[in-house]
Amino acid sequence: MSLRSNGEKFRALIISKEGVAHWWAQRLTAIFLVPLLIWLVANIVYLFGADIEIVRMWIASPVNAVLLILFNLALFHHAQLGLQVVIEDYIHTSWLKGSSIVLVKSLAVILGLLTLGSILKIAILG
Amino acid sequence: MATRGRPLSPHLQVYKPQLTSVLSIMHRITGVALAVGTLVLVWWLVAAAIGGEAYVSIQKILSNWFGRLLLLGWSFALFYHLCNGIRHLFWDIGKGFDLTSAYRSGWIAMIGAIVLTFGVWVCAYLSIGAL
Repeated sequence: MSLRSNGEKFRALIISKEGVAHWWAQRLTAIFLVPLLIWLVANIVYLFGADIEIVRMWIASPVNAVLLILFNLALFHHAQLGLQVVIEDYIHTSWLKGSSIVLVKSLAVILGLLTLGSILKIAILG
Repeated sequence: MATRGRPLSPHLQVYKPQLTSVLSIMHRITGVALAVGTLVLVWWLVAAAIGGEAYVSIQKILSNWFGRLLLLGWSFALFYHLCNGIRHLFWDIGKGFDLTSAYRSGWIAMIGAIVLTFGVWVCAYLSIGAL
């Protein structure tokens, strides 16, 4: 026998499931980002100070383009999940908390799409 | 029931700072800084796609002293968040929770981040023949 009403049980279930999915997504993107970051940093060191033609040639190579797209998808997903937790912890005004999270998530989508568009443009159109 | 004005977690000001708590809040601070830094990454990629003046201008901004200082800060934030993030992943599988391990891995993350930052900048300047 539980002292919780069905409504409360349902609510707890929904909230906890959301939390679990959030937790897993943050860890999985983190694990993906480790090798991708090492790859990217090594390549940025190599591209350091290079002019645009070399940078574009590097982005246009199919392997680099795909890895760069994967990196950006994982990065913006990871960033918005992390920022959401920070907002939830430090902003206590309900409407401000909600709207900040929506803003962060929207920005992550927009910025992610901008990188996707730029990479594809360079890779396909040159 | 009075619910207004109650202290809400996290209330860090009541604790004496320790290595573990300082590293923990640094993980968040570097995470937020890196999220802001993605704006520069996006700018760089968009500028590369547009080409011409757009790329020249971001290259100029990133190669002056202020741009380099920002990149230095972001590279440290990146390596710190990476090293401490790996520390978190070990905690997630239940490893390294005891106090000795937590302190040891904390120092490793901190020193590792400093060494990686230094190493990557030495390599970057070597690659352009400036060292």
